[in-house]
Amino acid sequence: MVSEALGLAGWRLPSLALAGKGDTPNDGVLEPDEVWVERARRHPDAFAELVRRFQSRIYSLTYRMTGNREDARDLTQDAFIRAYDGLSTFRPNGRFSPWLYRIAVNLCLNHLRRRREETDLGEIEYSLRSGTLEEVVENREMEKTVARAILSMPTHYRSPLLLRHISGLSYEEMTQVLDMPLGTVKTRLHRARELLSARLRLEGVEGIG
Amino acid sequence: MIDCKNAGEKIHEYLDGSLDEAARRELLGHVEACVSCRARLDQWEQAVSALEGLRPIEPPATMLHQVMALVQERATNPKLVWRKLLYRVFVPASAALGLLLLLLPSSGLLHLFSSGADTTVPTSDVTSSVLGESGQALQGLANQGVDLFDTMLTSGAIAQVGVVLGACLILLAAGVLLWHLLDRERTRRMLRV
Ligand SMILES: [Zn+2]
Repeated sequence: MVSEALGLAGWRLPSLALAGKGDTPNDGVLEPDEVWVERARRHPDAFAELVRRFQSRIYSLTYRMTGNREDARDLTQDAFIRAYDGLSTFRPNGRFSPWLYRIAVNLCLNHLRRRREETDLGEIEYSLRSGTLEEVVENREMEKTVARAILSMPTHYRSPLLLRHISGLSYEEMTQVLDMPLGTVKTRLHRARELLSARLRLEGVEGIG
Repeated sequence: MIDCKNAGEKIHEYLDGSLDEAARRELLGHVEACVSCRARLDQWEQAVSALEGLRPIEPPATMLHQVMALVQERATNPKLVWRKLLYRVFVPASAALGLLLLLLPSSGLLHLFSSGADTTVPTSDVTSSVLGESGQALQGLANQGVDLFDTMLTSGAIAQVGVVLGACLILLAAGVLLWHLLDRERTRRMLRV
């Protein structure tokens, strides 16, 4: 398990090594995503830049939504391909990232709806933080518990929770991604946080921080 | 005044960072005095920080390559390329041609094509000497063709054929365009899921 978790670090692309969640590789002036959408319409190769920018964020989301590495890979791939196929339907004054998130979330929800059986909680992964062995073991257990708590939630709570706290979206963006009024988004997110908190307490997680 | 009943929503807004200074101070005042609301704030805050503390999981290194391979496949897929040509080239071209054919009779431009009643395909020494008899036969046929065209032109048959053809082309263009738009709408709806 440890080697598996360590293997994750090896997967990281050099350009993404410093990119945390919600970040893009920052090399000074970054052209807006929409400029690359325009380019990708004419030259398919330009789409690579959009994949580079969003693959970590979309993968994190699909992974936390499904709790399964293979599913996350397939769903991320599928989201990008559908986005590419739909570039001609992309509104010229729209923003690319909520649109892409929306495709990814909808694919996840469809997938979870189809996949009726229980999520395989044994497959949950976690990554290591640097620290003493004791801390590492503690963190691993913690991450596992949190991941399990997320997956035990109904999907209509899971998606706003992840979009807000894993993907770092604003409420405004969430209304676009989830296609819901602001009030509904807020209510669901707040309820989801309470649910998560309750599940974590049930699992005996105290004094997290 | 804040009571425990509406403190829950305020705590969430506090966690969202959307409370103004006065509301924040009011909430913190209540939380300090109320054990159960303080517990709620602590627990929800902890849940959020546990969630945000999860490390991002990186996609497989092959992700970019795999996606772009699929993208390239789509960009060069003959079926898709052909479709693109269909609505980008065929639709405007056939609509323009159809419109031209429809408008030509009323514009009077058609008569420019008329060769005049007594025109014949000019005889040249070269054709008669090189092609001999068969050449002359061909020339006769050409003259007959010119005569037939003139007759049809003056009787309005050409104009009628043109109008019908033009209308067909415009209908065809409209049909293809409609099919394309419906297909696009289907894609759009699928992306919304
Ligand atoms: Zn209270």
